[in-house]
Amino acid sequence: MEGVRTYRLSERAITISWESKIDRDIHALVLETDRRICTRPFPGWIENVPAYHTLTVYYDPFVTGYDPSEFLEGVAARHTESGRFEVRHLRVPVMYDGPDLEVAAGKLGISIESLVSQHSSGIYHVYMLGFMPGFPYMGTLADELVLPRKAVPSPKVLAGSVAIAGHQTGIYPFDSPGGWYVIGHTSIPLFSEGKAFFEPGDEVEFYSITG
Amino acid sequence: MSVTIIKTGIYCSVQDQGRRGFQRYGVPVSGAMDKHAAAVANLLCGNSYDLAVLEFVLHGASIEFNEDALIAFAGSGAAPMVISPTPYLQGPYLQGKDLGGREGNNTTLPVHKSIFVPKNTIVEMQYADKGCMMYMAIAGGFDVPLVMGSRSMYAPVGAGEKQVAGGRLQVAGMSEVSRSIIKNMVSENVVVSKWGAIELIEEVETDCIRVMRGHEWEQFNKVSQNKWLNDRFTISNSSDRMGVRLEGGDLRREQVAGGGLQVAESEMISTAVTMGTVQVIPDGSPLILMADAQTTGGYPRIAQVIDADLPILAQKRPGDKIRFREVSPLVAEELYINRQEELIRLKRNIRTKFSI
Repeated sequence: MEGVRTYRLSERAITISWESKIDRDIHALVLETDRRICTRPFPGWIENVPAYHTLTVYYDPFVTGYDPSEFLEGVAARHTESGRFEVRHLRVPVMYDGPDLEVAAGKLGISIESLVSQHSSGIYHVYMLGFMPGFPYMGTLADELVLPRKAVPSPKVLAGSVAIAGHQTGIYPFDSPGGWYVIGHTSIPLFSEGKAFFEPGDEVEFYSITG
Repeated sequence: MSVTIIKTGIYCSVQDQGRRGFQRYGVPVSGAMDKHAAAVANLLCGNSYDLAVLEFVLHGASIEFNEDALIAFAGSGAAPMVISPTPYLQGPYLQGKDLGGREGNNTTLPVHKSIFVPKNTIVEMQYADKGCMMYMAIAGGFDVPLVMGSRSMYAPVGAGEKQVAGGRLQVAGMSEVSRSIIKNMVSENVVVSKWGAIELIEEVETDCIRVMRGHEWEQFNKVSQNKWLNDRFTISNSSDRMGVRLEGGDLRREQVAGGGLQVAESEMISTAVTMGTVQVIPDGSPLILMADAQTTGGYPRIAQVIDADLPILAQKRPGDKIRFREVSPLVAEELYINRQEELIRLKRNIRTKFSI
Protein backbone atom coordinates (compact mmCIF):
# COMPACT_ATOMS: atom_id res chain seq x y z
CA MET A 1 0.00 0.00 0.00
CA GLU A 2 1.25 3.44 -0.84
CA GLY A 3 2.14 5.45 2.20
CA VAL A 4 3.19 2.53 4.43
CA ARG A 5 6.83 2.46 5.37
CA THR A 6 8.96 1.33 8.25
CA TYR A 7 11.77 2.90 10.21
CA ARG A 8 13.95 1.74 13.08
CA LEU A 9 13.06 3.17 16.44
CA SER A 10 16.01 1.22 17.87
CA GLU A 11 17.89 -1.97 17.04
CA ARG A 12 15.11 -3.77 18.92
CA ALA A 13 12.06 -1.95 17.56
CA ILE A 14 10.63 -1.16 14.15
CA THR A 15 7.92 1.41 13.61
CA ILE A 16 5.43 0.89 10.79
CA SER A 17 4.21 4.29 9.71
CA TRP A 18 1.13 5.26 7.70
CA GLU A 19 0.28 8.72 6.41
CA SER A 20 1.06 11.24 9.12
CA LYS A 21 -2.35 12.41 10.21
CA ILE A 22 -4.98 11.79 12.86
CA ASP A 23 -7.58 9.84 10.98
CA ARG A 24 -9.90 7.01 11.96
CA ASP A 25 -9.40 5.08 8.73
CA ILE A 26 -5.64 5.17 9.09
CA HIS A 27 -5.98 4.17 12.74
CA ALA A 28 -8.16 1.22 11.70
CA LEU A 29 -5.27 0.00 9.54
CA VAL A 30 -2.88 0.40 12.47
CA LEU A 31 -5.15 -1.74 14.65
CA GLU A 32 -5.74 -4.32 11.94
CA THR A 33 -2.00 -4.73 11.40
CA ASP A 34 -1.51 -4.85 15.18
CA ARG A 35 -4.07 -7.64 15.45
CA ARG A 36 -2.49 -9.63 12.62
CA ILE A 37 0.95 -9.49 14.19
CA CYS A 38 -0.34 -10.31 17.69
CA THR A 39 -2.26 -13.31 16.32
CA ARG A 40 0.64 -14.64 14.27
CA PRO A 41 3.82 -13.32 15.84
CA PHE A 42 7.23 -13.95 14.32
CA PRO A 43 10.12 -15.55 16.28
CA GLY A 44 11.54 -13.08 18.81
CA TRP A 45 8.48 -10.83 18.77
CA ILE A 46 7.90 -9.11 22.12
CA GLU A 47 5.07 -6.58 21.92
CA ASN A 48 3.35 -3.98 19.77
CA VAL A 49 2.52 -0.39 20.61
CA PRO A 50 -0.24 1.03 18.42
CA ALA A 51 -0.41 4.83 18.21
CA TYR A 52 -2.26 7.33 15.96
CA HIS A 53 -0.68 6.52 12.63
CA THR A 54 2.10 4.17 13.66
CA LEU A 55 2.53 0.68 15.00
CA THR A 56 5.77 -0.02 16.81
CA VAL A 57 6.90 -3.63 16.95
CA TYR A 58 9.39 -4.63 19.67
CA TYR A 59 11.40 -7.78 19.12
CA ASP A 60 14.67 -9.41 20.09
CA PRO A 61 17.02 -9.43 17.08
CA PHE A 62 19.12 -12.07 18.82
CA VAL A 63 16.20 -14.48 18.60
CA THR A 64 14.67 -13.27 15.34
CA GLY A 65 17.94 -13.50 13.44
CA TYR A 66 16.81 -11.44 10.47
CA ASP A 67 15.53 -7.93 9.79
CA PRO A 68 11.73 -8.18 10.01
CA SER A 69 11.13 -4.77 8.34
CA GLU A 70 10.16 -6.21 5.01
CA PHE A 71 7.93 -8.82 6.58
CA LEU A 72 6.17 -6.16 8.66
CA GLU A 73 5.73 -3.87 5.68
CA GLY A 74 4.23 -6.83 3.87
CA VAL A 75 1.74 -7.53 6.67
CA ALA A 76 0.74 -3.86 6.68
CA ALA A 77 0.44 -3.71 2.90
CA ARG A 78 -1.72 -6.85 2.68
CA HIS A 79 -4.36 -5.45 4.98
CA THR A 80 -5.59 -2.25 3.46
CA GLU A 81 -9.18 -2.81 4.47
CA SER A 82 -10.29 -1.31 7.72
CA GLY A 83 -10.52 -3.81 10.56
CA ARG A 84 -13.78 -5.66 11.00
CA PHE A 85 -13.37 -6.52 14.64
CA GLU A 86 -15.99 -5.35 17.04
CA VAL A 87 -15.74 -1.87 18.43
CA ARG A 88 -16.61 -1.42 22.09
CA HIS A 89 -18.89 1.48 22.93
CA LEU A 90 -18.24 2.84 26.39
CA ARG A 91 -20.21 5.47 28.27
CA VAL A 92 -18.29 7.42 30.88
CA PRO A 93 -19.97 9.47 33.63
CA VAL A 94 -18.34 12.85 34.14
CA MET A 95 -18.94 15.46 36.75
CA TYR A 96 -18.11 18.67 34.94
CA ASP A 97 -16.53 20.49 37.86
CA GLY A 98 -12.88 20.73 36.75
CA PRO A 99 -10.62 23.45 38.14
CA ASP A 100 -9.99 24.78 34.62
CA LEU A 101 -13.61 24.69 33.42
CA GLU A 102 -14.18 28.41 33.76
CA VAL A 103 -10.81 29.42 32.34
CA ALA A 104 -11.21 27.06 29.40
CA ALA A 105 -14.71 28.35 28.60
CA GLY A 106 -13.40 31.91 28.89
CA LYS A 107 -10.50 31.25 26.52
CA LEU A 108 -12.85 29.55 24.08
CA GLY A 109 -15.32 32.42 24.34
CA ILE A 110 -18.25 30.12 25.10
CA SER A 111 -20.38 29.48 28.15
CA ILE A 112 -19.62 26.69 30.59
CA GLU A 113 -22.94 25.08 29.63
CA SER A 114 -21.97 25.11 25.98
CA LEU A 115 -18.54 23.61 26.73
CA VAL A 116 -20.15 20.83 28.78
CA SER A 117 -22.85 20.10 26.25
CA GLN A 118 -20.41 20.01 23.34
CA HIS A 119 -17.90 17.83 25.18
CA SER A 120 -20.61 15.39 26.27
CA SER A 121 -22.33 15.23 22.91
CA GLY A 122 -19.31 14.00 20.93
CA ILE A 123 -18.41 10.39 20.24
CA TYR A 124 -14.71 9.93 20.74
CA HIS A 125 -12.30 7.34 19.49
CA VAL A 126 -9.43 6.01 21.61
CA TYR A 127 -6.35 6.32 19.42
CA MET A 128 -3.67 5.43 21.87
CA LEU A 129 -2.80 4.71 25.49
CA GLY A 130 0.33 6.46 26.64
CA PHE A 131 1.86 9.09 28.91
CA MET A 132 1.00 6.92 31.94
CA PRO A 133 -0.65 3.51 32.42
CA GLY A 134 -4.20 3.64 31.08
CA PHE A 135 -4.20 7.28 29.86
CA PRO A 136 -6.47 7.33 26.76
CA TYR A 137 -5.72 9.79 23.98
CA MET A 138 -9.16 10.39 22.49
CA GLY A 139 -10.28 12.39 19.47
CA THR A 140 -11.59 14.23 17.78
CA LEU A 141 -12.72 17.20 19.80
CA ALA A 142 -15.09 19.68 18.13
CA ASP A 143 -13.24 22.67 16.64
CA GLU A 144 -15.09 24.97 19.05
CA LEU A 145 -13.32 23.28 21.99
CA VAL A 146 -9.76 23.39 20.70
CA LEU A 147 -7.26 25.06 23.03
CA PRO A 148 -3.47 24.79 23.04
CA ARG A 149 -1.88 23.12 26.03
CA LYS A 150 -1.29 25.29 29.06
CA ALA A 151 1.91 27.31 28.78
CA VAL A 152 2.81 26.23 32.31
CA PRO A 153 1.65 22.71 33.25
CA SER A 154 -0.20 22.28 36.54
CA PRO A 155 2.04 20.62 39.11
CA LYS A 156 -0.73 18.27 40.21
CA VAL A 157 -3.67 17.03 38.20
CA LEU A 158 -5.80 14.61 40.20
CA ALA A 159 -6.52 11.02 39.18
CA GLY A 160 -9.80 10.82 37.25
CA SER A 161 -9.46 14.30 35.77
CA VAL A 162 -11.14 14.66 32.37
CA ALA A 163 -9.15 17.12 30.33
CA ILE A 164 -8.86 18.67 26.87
CA ALA A 165 -5.93 19.89 24.74
CA GLY A 166 -5.79 20.51 21.03
CA HIS A 167 -8.23 18.23 19.24
CA GLN A 168 -7.89 15.68 22.03
CA THR A 169 -9.56 14.74 25.23
CA GLY A 170 -8.21 12.38 27.86
CA ILE A 171 -8.48 11.19 31.44
CA TYR A 172 -5.64 11.13 33.97
CA PRO A 173 -5.50 7.68 35.63
CA PHE A 174 -3.13 8.86 38.37
CA ASP A 175 -2.19 12.11 40.08
CA SER A 176 0.50 13.75 37.98
CA PRO A 177 1.68 17.04 36.58
CA GLY A 178 -0.23 17.87 33.42
CA GLY A 179 -0.64 20.52 30.76
CA TRP A 180 -4.22 19.83 29.66
CA TYR A 181 -7.26 21.86 30.76
CA VAL A 182 -9.17 19.89 33.40
CA ILE A 183 -12.92 20.31 32.83
CA GLY A 184 -14.32 17.51 34.97
CA HIS A 185 -13.72 14.24 36.72
CA THR A 186 -14.86 10.65 36.61
CA SER A 187 -14.63 7.90 39.17
CA ILE A 188 -14.13 4.96 36.81
CA PRO A 189 -10.84 3.18 37.56
CA LEU A 190 -8.62 3.72 34.50
CA PHE A 191 -5.95 1.28 35.45
CA SER A 192 -6.23 -1.39 38.07
CA GLU A 193 -5.02 -4.95 38.59
CA GLY A 194 -2.89 -4.83 35.48
CA LYS A 195 -5.76 -3.82 33.23
CA ALA A 196 -6.49 -0.58 31.42
CA PHE A 197 -10.14 0.46 31.23
CA PHE A 198 -9.78 1.65 27.63
CA GLU A 199 -8.21 0.02 24.64
CA PRO A 200 -7.17 1.59 21.36
CA GLY A 201 -10.18 1.45 19.02
CA ASP A 202 -12.84 1.95 21.72
CA GLU A 203 -15.64 4.44 21.11
CA VAL A 204 -16.35 6.66 24.08
CA GLU A 205 -19.23 8.93 25.05
CA PHE A 206 -19.26 11.16 28.10
CA TYR A 207 -22.41 11.92 29.99
CA SER A 208 -22.81 14.65 32.55
CA ILE A 209 -23.67 13.73 36.12
CA THR A 210 -24.18 15.93 39.14
CA GLY A 211 -23.82 15.53 42.88
CA MET B 1 15.49 -15.84 54.02
CA SER B 2 15.36 -12.07 53.96
CA VAL B 3 17.47 -8.95 54.02
CA THR B 4 16.64 -5.77 55.89
CA ILE B 5 17.09 -2.36 54.35
CA ILE B 6 18.66 -0.34 57.15
CA LYS B 7 19.13 2.83 55.12
CA THR B 8 17.86 3.50 51.61
CA GLY B 9 20.63 5.94 50.70
CA ILE B 10 19.93 8.25 47.80
CA TYR B 11 17.52 5.75 46.24
CA CYS B 12 17.26 2.01 46.06
CA SER B 13 14.69 -0.21 44.40
CA VAL B 14 14.07 -3.78 43.36
CA GLN B 15 14.48 -4.19 39.60
CA ASP B 16 14.66 -6.99 37.08
CA GLN B 17 14.97 -6.91 33.28
CA GLY B 18 11.65 -5.09 32.96
CA ARG B 19 7.97 -5.43 32.32
CA ARG B 20 7.24 -6.45 28.75
CA GLY B 21 3.94 -6.77 26.94
CA PHE B 22 2.11 -3.86 28.60
CA GLN B 23 3.52 -0.84 26.81
CA ARG B 24 0.39 -0.81 24.64
CA TYR B 25 -1.50 0.13 27.82
CA GLY B 26 0.97 2.87 28.64
CA VAL B 27 2.94 0.83 31.18
CA PRO B 28 6.67 1.63 31.07
CA VAL B 29 9.17 -1.22 30.74
CA SER B 30 11.08 -0.17 33.90
CA GLY B 31 13.70 -2.66 35.10
CA ALA B 32 17.35 -1.97 35.87
CA MET B 33 18.84 1.22 34.41
CA ASP B 34 21.97 -0.83 33.63
CA LYS B 35 20.35 -4.10 32.59
CA HIS B 36 23.68 -5.65 31.67
CA ALA B 37 25.12 -5.16 35.17
CA ALA B 38 21.94 -6.56 36.72
CA ALA B 39 22.22 -9.63 34.46
CA VAL B 40 25.91 -10.18 35.28
CA ALA B 41 25.30 -9.88 39.04
CA ASN B 42 22.56 -12.49 38.76
CA LEU B 43 24.64 -14.97 36.75
CA LEU B 44 27.52 -14.67 39.23
CA CYS B 45 25.43 -15.95 42.09
CA GLY B 46 23.92 -18.77 40.09
CA ASN B 47 20.64 -17.08 39.19
CA SER B 48 19.10 -16.80 35.78
CA TYR B 49 19.99 -13.38 34.36
CA ASP B 50 16.54 -11.86 34.81
CA LEU B 51 15.84 -12.29 38.53
CA ALA B 52 15.10 -9.31 40.74
CA VAL B 53 18.12 -7.47 42.15
CA LEU B 54 18.59 -4.36 44.26
CA GLU B 55 19.55 -1.22 42.37
CA PHE B 56 21.39 1.41 44.40
CA VAL B 57 21.61 4.94 43.04
CA LEU B 58 24.98 6.22 44.24
CA HIS B 59 25.89 5.73 47.92
CA GLY B 60 24.26 5.78 51.33
CA ALA B 61 22.20 2.59 51.50
CA SER B 62 22.93 -0.18 53.95
CA ILE B 63 21.48 -3.64 54.25
CA GLU B 64 21.62 -6.45 56.74
CA PHE B 65 21.53 -10.11 55.81
CA ASN B 66 19.20 -12.04 58.11
CA GLU B 67 20.60 -15.41 56.97
CA ASP B 68 23.74 -16.65 55.25
CA ALA B 69 23.63 -15.61 51.61
CA LEU B 70 25.47 -15.80 48.32
CA ILE B 71 25.57 -12.42 46.59
CA ALA B 72 27.31 -10.61 43.74
CA PHE B 73 27.75 -6.96 42.85
CA ALA B 74 27.99 -5.38 39.42
CA GLY B 75 27.89 -1.80 38.29
CA SER B 76 29.52 1.26 39.80
CA GLY B 77 28.73 4.41 41.72
CA ALA B 78 29.20 3.02 45.22
CA ALA B 79 31.75 0.99 47.18
CA PRO B 80 29.97 -1.87 49.00
CA MET B 81 31.65 -2.28 52.35
CA VAL B 82 31.21 -4.73 55.23
CA ILE B 83 30.70 -2.54 58.29
CA SER B 84 29.30 -5.01 60.82
CA PRO B 85 31.48 -6.49 63.51
CA THR B 86 32.62 -9.66 61.82
CA PRO B 87 30.12 -12.47 62.16
CA TYR B 88 32.16 -14.72 59.93
CA LEU B 89 33.25 -17.11 62.62
CA GLN B 90 29.66 -18.07 63.39
CA GLY B 91 28.64 -19.13 59.91
CA PRO B 92 28.09 -22.80 59.12
CA TYR B 93 30.58 -22.47 56.28
CA LEU B 94 34.06 -21.14 56.03
CA GLN B 95 34.87 -21.02 59.71
CA GLY B 96 37.81 -18.86 60.47
CA LYS B 97 37.40 -16.81 57.32
CA ASP B 98 36.36 -13.25 57.40
CA LEU B 99 36.25 -10.19 55.26
CA GLY B 100 37.11 -7.80 58.02
CA GLY B 101 34.39 -5.58 59.28
CA ARG B 102 36.16 -4.98 62.55
CA GLU B 103 36.52 -1.45 63.66
CA GLY B 104 39.04 0.33 61.50
CA ASN B 105 39.24 -2.68 59.27
CA ASN B 106 36.23 -2.35 57.00
CA THR B 107 36.54 -4.23 53.78
CA THR B 108 35.33 -3.19 50.39
CA LEU B 109 33.59 -5.99 48.54
CA PRO B 110 34.58 -6.45 44.91
CA VAL B 111 32.28 -6.29 41.89
CA HIS B 112 32.00 -9.22 39.44
CA LYS B 113 32.74 -11.92 42.04
CA SER B 114 30.61 -14.37 44.01
CA ILE B 115 30.60 -13.42 47.67
CA PHE B 116 29.50 -15.46 50.67
CA VAL B 117 28.03 -13.32 53.45
CA PRO B 118 27.05 -14.86 56.77
CA LYS B 119 24.01 -14.03 58.82
CA ASN B 120 23.94 -10.56 60.43
CA THR B 121 26.49 -9.08 58.04
CA ILE B 122 25.82 -5.42 57.35
CA VAL B 123 26.95 -4.00 54.03
CA GLU B 124 26.94 -0.28 53.36
CA MET B 125 27.15 1.41 49.97
CA GLN B 126 29.90 3.90 50.55
CA TYR B 127 30.95 6.82 48.40
CA ALA B 128 32.70 6.09 45.13
CA ASP B 129 34.09 8.79 42.88
CA LYS B 130 32.52 7.58 39.66
CA GLY B 131 29.55 5.70 38.26
CA CYS B 132 25.95 5.85 39.33
CA MET B 133 24.16 2.49 39.57
CA MET B 134 25.29 -0.44 41.72
CA TYR B 135 23.48 -3.78 41.59
CA MET B 136 23.37 -6.50 44.19
CA ALA B 137 22.03 -9.89 43.22
CA ILE B 138 21.34 -12.57 45.80
CA ALA B 139 21.11 -16.32 45.16
CA GLY B 140 17.41 -17.06 44.61
CA GLY B 141 16.53 -13.46 43.78
CA PHE B 142 14.39 -10.97 45.68
CA ASP B 143 10.93 -12.39 46.03
CA VAL B 144 8.71 -9.31 45.82
CA PRO B 145 5.31 -9.87 44.18
CA LEU B 146 5.28 -10.34 40.43
CA VAL B 147 3.16 -7.62 38.83
CA MET B 148 2.42 -7.98 35.14
CA GLY B 149 5.30 -10.40 34.73
CA SER B 150 7.91 -8.29 36.48
CA ARG B 151 9.19 -7.48 39.96
CA SER B 152 10.49 -4.08 38.93
CA MET B 153 9.33 -1.26 41.16
CA TYR B 154 6.84 1.01 39.44
CA ALA B 155 4.46 2.67 41.90
CA PRO B 156 1.56 3.61 39.57
CA VAL B 157 0.75 -0.03 38.82
CA GLY B 158 1.32 -1.11 42.39
CA ALA B 159 4.51 -2.94 41.54
CA GLY B 160 7.06 -3.22 44.27
CA GLU B 161 7.07 -1.24 47.42
CA LYS B 162 9.16 1.83 47.80
CA GLN B 163 12.16 0.69 49.79
CA VAL B 164 12.07 2.28 53.18
CA ALA B 165 14.41 2.13 56.14
CA GLY B 166 13.56 -0.95 58.18
CA GLY B 167 11.82 -2.67 55.28
CA ARG B 168 12.44 -6.36 54.71
CA LEU B 169 12.89 -8.08 51.38
CA GLN B 170 12.19 -11.79 51.06
CA VAL B 171 14.56 -13.95 49.05
CA ALA B 172 13.42 -16.99 47.06
CA GLY B 173 15.07 -20.41 47.27
CA MET B 174 18.42 -20.76 45.54
CA SER B 175 19.20 -22.83 42.46
CA GLU B 176 21.44 -25.89 42.16
CA VAL B 177 24.03 -23.67 40.50
CA SER B 178 24.08 -21.38 43.53
CA ARG B 179 24.51 -24.37 45.84
CA SER B 180 27.40 -25.60 43.75
CA ILE B 181 29.05 -22.19 43.85
CA ILE B 182 28.84 -22.21 47.65
CA LYS B 183 30.24 -25.77 47.83
CA ASN B 184 33.08 -24.73 45.58
CA MET B 185 33.88 -21.71 47.74
CA VAL B 186 33.84 -23.89 50.84
CA SER B 187 36.22 -26.35 49.25
CA GLU B 188 38.54 -23.52 48.21
CA ASN B 189 38.17 -22.01 51.68
CA VAL B 190 37.30 -18.53 50.39
CA VAL B 191 34.46 -16.08 51.00
CA VAL B 192 35.09 -14.21 47.77
CA SER B 193 35.36 -16.36 44.68
CA LYS B 194 38.74 -16.50 42.97
CA TRP B 195 36.95 -16.56 39.64
CA GLY B 196 34.64 -13.85 38.37
CA ALA B 197 33.48 -12.00 35.32
CA ILE B 198 36.51 -9.80 35.15
CA GLU B 199 36.72 -10.02 31.37
CA LEU B 200 33.39 -8.23 31.24
CA ILE B 201 34.67 -5.04 32.79
CA GLU B 202 34.69 -2.88 29.73
CA GLU B 203 35.63 0.64 29.03
CA VAL B 204 32.70 2.02 30.91
CA GLU B 205 34.88 5.01 31.61
CA THR B 206 34.50 6.23 28.08
CA ASP B 207 32.64 9.49 27.67
CA CYS B 208 31.53 8.51 24.18
CA ILE B 209 28.00 7.17 23.70
CA ARG B 210 27.14 5.64 20.35
CA VAL B 211 23.85 6.58 18.72
CA MET B 212 21.81 5.85 15.62
CA ARG B 213 20.02 8.66 13.84
CA GLY B 214 16.59 9.41 15.21
CA HIS B 215 13.57 9.48 12.95
CA GLU B 216 13.43 13.30 12.97
CA TRP B 217 17.19 13.76 12.52
CA GLU B 218 16.77 15.32 9.09
CA GLN B 219 14.48 18.01 10.50
CA PHE B 220 17.26 19.48 12.61
CA ASN B 221 19.31 22.23 11.06
CA LYS B 222 22.95 21.64 10.15
CA VAL B 223 24.24 23.69 13.06
CA SER B 224 22.22 21.56 15.49
CA GLN B 225 23.27 18.29 13.84
CA ASN B 226 26.91 19.34 14.12
CA LYS B 227 26.47 20.40 17.72
CA TRP B 228 24.86 17.08 18.55
CA LEU B 229 27.78 15.09 17.18
CA ASN B 230 30.61 17.39 18.31
CA ASP B 231 29.65 19.11 21.54
CA ARG B 232 30.08 17.64 24.98
CA PHE B 233 26.92 17.60 27.05
CA THR B 234 26.70 17.65 30.84
CA ILE B 235 24.37 15.28 32.67
CA SER B 236 21.89 17.47 34.53
CA ASN B 237 21.09 16.79 38.17
CA SER B 238 17.40 16.65 37.33
CA SER B 239 18.01 13.27 35.68
CA ASP B 240 16.18 10.30 37.12
CA ARG B 241 14.95 6.82 36.23
CA MET B 242 12.60 8.34 33.65
CA GLY B 243 15.22 10.24 31.74
CA VAL B 244 18.74 11.58 31.55
CA ARG B 245 18.56 15.32 30.96
CA LEU B 246 21.46 17.02 29.26
CA GLU B 247 22.44 20.62 29.80
CA GLY B 248 22.84 22.95 26.88
CA GLY B 249 22.26 22.04 23.32
CA ASP B 250 19.95 24.64 21.83
CA LEU B 251 19.11 22.10 19.15
CA ARG B 252 16.64 23.47 16.64
CA ARG B 253 14.60 22.12 13.79
CA GLU B 254 14.03 24.03 10.62
CA GLN B 255 12.72 23.33 7.20
CA VAL B 256 12.97 25.01 3.85
CA ALA B 257 9.71 26.74 3.13
CA GLY B 258 9.06 29.37 0.49
CA GLY B 259 12.75 29.78 -0.22
CA GLY B 260 13.61 30.72 3.34
CA LEU B 261 14.51 28.90 6.49
CA GLN B 262 11.76 28.55 8.98
CA VAL B 263 11.68 27.00 12.37
CA ALA B 264 9.39 24.02 12.41
CA GLU B 265 7.06 24.60 15.32
CA SER B 266 4.44 22.12 14.22
CA GLU B 267 3.63 19.55 16.85
CA MET B 268 4.39 15.95 15.98
CA ILE B 269 1.72 13.30 16.28
CA SER B 270 2.69 11.16 19.26
CA THR B 271 4.18 7.75 18.64
CA ALA B 272 6.09 5.06 20.55
CA VAL B 273 9.40 5.92 22.16
CA THR B 274 11.78 3.62 24.03
CA MET B 275 14.73 3.56 26.41
CA GLY B 276 17.57 5.43 24.72
CA THR B 277 15.35 7.64 22.58
CA VAL B 278 16.80 11.16 22.53
CA GLN B 279 13.96 13.66 22.43
CA VAL B 280 14.62 17.35 21.98
CA ILE B 281 12.28 19.26 24.26
CA PRO B 282 10.96 22.73 23.35
CA ASP B 283 13.83 24.61 25.03
CA GLY B 284 16.22 22.89 22.63
CA SER B 285 17.87 20.58 25.16
CA PRO B 286 18.12 16.81 24.75
CA LEU B 287 16.31 14.40 27.06
CA ILE B 288 17.29 10.75 26.84
CA LEU B 289 14.48 8.42 27.88
CA MET B 290 15.47 5.76 30.41
CA ALA B 291 13.94 2.76 32.18
CA ASP B 292 10.78 4.33 33.64
CA ALA B 293 10.06 6.59 30.66
CA GLN B 294 6.60 6.91 29.23
CA THR B 295 5.80 4.64 26.31
CA THR B 296 4.82 7.33 23.79
CA GLY B 297 6.09 10.80 23.06
CA GLY B 298 5.54 13.74 20.78
CA TYR B 299 8.92 15.49 20.76
CA PRO B 300 11.28 15.22 17.79
CA ARG B 301 13.83 12.45 18.14
CA ILE B 302 17.31 13.47 17.09
CA ALA B 303 18.94 10.14 17.98
CA GLN B 304 18.63 6.73 19.59
CA VAL B 305 21.32 5.52 21.98
CA ILE B 306 22.37 2.04 20.93
CA ASP B 307 21.38 -0.74 23.29
CA ALA B 308 24.98 -1.80 23.94
CA ASP B 309 25.84 1.70 25.24
CA LEU B 310 22.77 2.18 27.47
CA PRO B 311 24.72 0.70 30.43
CA ILE B 312 27.50 3.25 29.88
CA LEU B 313 24.94 6.06 29.87
CA ALA B 314 23.14 4.66 32.92
CA GLN B 315 26.42 4.79 34.84
CA LYS B 316 26.93 8.52 34.23
CA ARG B 317 26.18 10.74 37.20
CA PRO B 318 25.06 14.37 37.27
CA GLY B 319 27.96 16.58 36.25
CA ASP B 320 29.62 13.97 34.03
CA LYS B 321 30.23 15.04 30.46
CA ILE B 322 29.40 12.89 27.46
CA ARG B 323 29.58 13.14 23.70
CA PHE B 324 27.91 11.18 20.94
CA ARG B 325 29.16 9.29 17.93
CA GLU B 326 26.99 7.98 15.13
CA VAL B 327 26.94 4.33 14.10
CA SER B 328 24.70 2.52 11.62
CA PRO B 329 21.71 0.47 12.76
CA LEU B 330 23.54 -2.60 11.47
CA VAL B 331 26.51 -1.98 13.75
CA ALA B 332 24.14 -1.28 16.64
CA GLU B 333 22.41 -4.59 16.09
CA GLU B 334 25.71 -6.47 15.86
CA LEU B 335 26.88 -4.95 19.14
CA TYR B 336 23.57 -5.91 20.76
CA ILE B 337 23.96 -9.50 19.56
CA ASN B 338 27.57 -9.61 20.80
CA ARG B 339 26.38 -8.45 24.19
CA GLN B 340 23.79 -11.23 24.34
CA GLU B 341 26.40 -13.80 23.34
CA GLU B 342 28.70 -12.50 26.06
CA LEU B 343 26.02 -13.16 28.69
CA ILE B 344 25.35 -16.63 27.31
CA ARG B 345 29.07 -17.39 27.43
CA LEU B 346 29.28 -16.24 31.03
CA LYS B 347 26.29 -18.39 31.95
CA ARG B 348 27.78 -21.40 30.16
CA ASN B 349 31.18 -20.91 31.80
CA ILE B 350 29.62 -20.82 35.24
CA ARG B 351 27.57 -23.94 34.54
CA THR B 352 30.60 -25.76 33.15
CA LYS B 353 32.80 -24.73 36.03
CA PHE B 354 30.34 -26.14 38.54
CA SER B 355 29.45 -29.08 36.30
CA ILE B 356 25.71 -28.54 36.34
